Formats: sequence, C-alpha cells, structure tokens
Amino acid sequence: MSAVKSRSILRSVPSHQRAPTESEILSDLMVQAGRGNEAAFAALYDLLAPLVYGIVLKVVRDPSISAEVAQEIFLELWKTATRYSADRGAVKSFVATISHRRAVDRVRSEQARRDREEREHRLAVPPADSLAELVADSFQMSRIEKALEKLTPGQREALELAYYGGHTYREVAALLGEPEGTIKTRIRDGLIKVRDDLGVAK
Amino acid sequence: MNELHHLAGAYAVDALEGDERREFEAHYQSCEICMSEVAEFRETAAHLGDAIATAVPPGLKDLIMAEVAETRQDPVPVLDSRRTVPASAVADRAVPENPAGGDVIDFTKRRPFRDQSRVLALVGAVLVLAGLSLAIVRLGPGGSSVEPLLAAPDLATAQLEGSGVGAIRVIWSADRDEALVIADDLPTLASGQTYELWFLLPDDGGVSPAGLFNTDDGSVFKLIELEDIQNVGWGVTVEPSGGSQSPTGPVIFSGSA
Repeated sequence: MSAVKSRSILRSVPSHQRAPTESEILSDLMVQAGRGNEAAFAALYDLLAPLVYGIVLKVVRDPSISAEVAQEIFLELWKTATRYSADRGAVKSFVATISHRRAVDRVRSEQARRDREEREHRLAVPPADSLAELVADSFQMSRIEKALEKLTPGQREALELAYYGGHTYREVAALLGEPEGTIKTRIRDGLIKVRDDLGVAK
Repeated sequence: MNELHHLAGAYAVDALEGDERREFEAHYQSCEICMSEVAEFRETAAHLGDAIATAVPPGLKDLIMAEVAETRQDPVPVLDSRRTVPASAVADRAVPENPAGGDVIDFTKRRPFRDQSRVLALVGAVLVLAGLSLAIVRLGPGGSSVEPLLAAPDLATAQLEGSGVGAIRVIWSADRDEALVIADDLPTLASGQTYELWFLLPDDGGVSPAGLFNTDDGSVFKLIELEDIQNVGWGVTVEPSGGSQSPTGPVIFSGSA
C-alpha cells in the first residue's frame, strides 16, 4: 500500500481513441455475460436496472412485485446471454421490450384485470401519470418530453395509456370513450412522430 | 398495406392481446415493412422507458447476483463447424432452434412463475420478434475499445451518489488500471469548466486526480487510463478547464464499490 500520491496518476489516453458508446458497452458486457463473467453481468445490471425497474414499476405499480419481476428479467437475461452474440447494439431496446412485456404479462392476469377494471370504473379517470408530472429537468426527459409535446393531445394520451399504463388499445378506447380504430391509429401515429423526432435509426 | 399493418404500433407497445396479437405475429414476420416498423417502434418505446428509469430498491442486486452465482446458463448454440457461413448471413438469420419456433405465445395466459421452458420461449420469441438479427455464433473479435476492460475478471462498479441532477457510474478494473465513466442527465457546465474524477485513497490518504470528463448533452462515456488504481472510492467535482491537482470545488458525487 503506497503512500499518498502527490503527482497526477493519469496516464495519457491516446487521442485517437474515441469514446465508447453506450450500446457498445452494453453489447460487450452481454458478450462477457454470455461467457459466464459475473462481474460483467453485475456491471450490466448497474447500467440497465433503473431502466428495467422503472418500466416495470410504472406498469405494475407495486414496488415489491416490481422488484420480483425485475429479478426474473435479469435472471433470464443471465441465462440467455449465451445466445447473445456480437451482433452489436440492440441490448437496451431488447431489454426494454422484455421488461415492458413482462410487466404487462404480470398485470394482465385474470385477477389483476378484474381488480383493475373495478378500480377504473370507480375512478373513471385515466390512471397513467402524464410524463410531464414526473420529474422534468433532465436532458433525456426533456428530449422525450419535447417529442411528446409535438403529438396531438389525443395521440399523446393514447400512447401514454398504452405504454405507461400497460393497457391494450381496446382498453384505452374504452377508457377514453373513443372508437378502437381511432386509438389504434393514434398509437401508431404517435410512435411514428416520436420515432422521427428522436431520429431512431431506420 | 392491409388492415393488420396498422397494428404494428399497438403491438410494439404490448397493446394487443389474444387472437389479434397472434394474427399480427403470424403476419408481421413475413412482412418486411411491419418487421422494421416494429423494431423501430420498440426502439422508440425504449426511449419512453428510459425517461422513467427509476432508482432500484437496495438489495435487489445482491439477490440477483446470488441467484446468478447458482444458475447455469442456457446451452450455447453452435453451428456445424464444417459449414462456413459468412457472418452477415448468420446475423440475418433468426435463431433456428428458437424454442418458440418464431411462433406465437399467448401472453394473456398466466404463466407459472418459474416455468423455465415458457420463459425461455418468451425470451426466444421476443428475440426473434424484435427483429434483432440475433447471431447464433460468435462472430469473433471486434469488440469496442472498452472490451478488454469489460472482460476483466476484477471488474467493479460504483454508483456515485450526488445531491444534484444526474447519475454517474464508474466501472473499473484495478488489474487493467482502466476506468470507464458513464453518466446520464448530467448538467452541462459553463465554458471554462470541467468535471473531474478523484480517487479517494485508502487510509485517509486524501484524494488524487483521476481524470477529466465533460458533456454537451448530459451523457458521458469515457474511458480513463490510470496508474495503479488502489482507491477505496470515487468523487467528482467541478473544476476549471484543464483540471486541478486537488479539488477546488465541493464533491458533488461520491461513492464506492
């Protein structure tokens, strides 16, 4: 154990070395996890857990059930990491997709559905929080927020109820008293606008 | 463009169920337009998910890592080695042994909690359905500049806590003397300022400069090479451009493994 260093212990970093991107890091970690590297998986957890837990909690709402669902998602990610390979870049989108689907899967069990419908009849208001009501003031947030603001109120409401509320489009239609076809279209049009606004790669 | 095509949006945000979902799944895998639209919509939805990322309950990581330590991973899919397949061809093909057969799963049915085959089928189906062009063989080297670090057996991570906006994580390996700084939603600094990372040295040895980073858009991914990492923690301050030899501002983020 050496004493305090007074000099800088920085080594020079070659200037040609570009910064790694998030998707490269996630992809590398997945490859490592697939080789059984637990330390890499732990790092992957650190990077992805807020995303996974955030999505699940938003849809499921109960923190302890959400933690359970997040735990399942990560365990499956660990098991199936052997199938992941050097096709780079889609880890985050994939994990977000799985997380949302698992969350929705969980709340759409028969009992949960009955409870929810009862609750919704009682309240008769759309249950999803508007994103604007959540903390603003961060870059990612404002970027999404800006994209959502460009939607028509109807598109935004439909998209938020479907994604953040975890409702089917038929449920959204029932909640809003609109025709199902209208809601279907609003969800798709809303996604197209947000996609184009965020510049999601074609 | 038929009627089913309009379901891509609802499908991508899991707003379809039952027959309609099955019908769409049967359709879209043979429809190039729907396939790419679903992939794009899912990526879009991932951004919506990102916006609601939430601090995870403490203790969850330990639970998961304890389970991971006792869980065998799925068999590695292998190709017949006598056949040589160009990497691109492999990448474009869906996983052939996909247990769901690219098939349909009724997600409306309640799934027993630890039913692995179903879970596997789910994951497999999502992999295929997400249009991720999952390769089934390792395509050899070609990782990013951080791959050697991320492969280090002593890889450690620290979440630095701060009172302000944003989050900073450091992933490092003392064996390799490299650290990766990852940050989200960090405030953009005034010109003439930089973020500086510090080691907290053992035995109250004070702090030592560990590198500079900055951001235009709130996010940071920076690999820092160091000499002889032996710190017990990390801290971040805001310093004048070029950095300082000892902190001149308050520590705004700190944390340890």
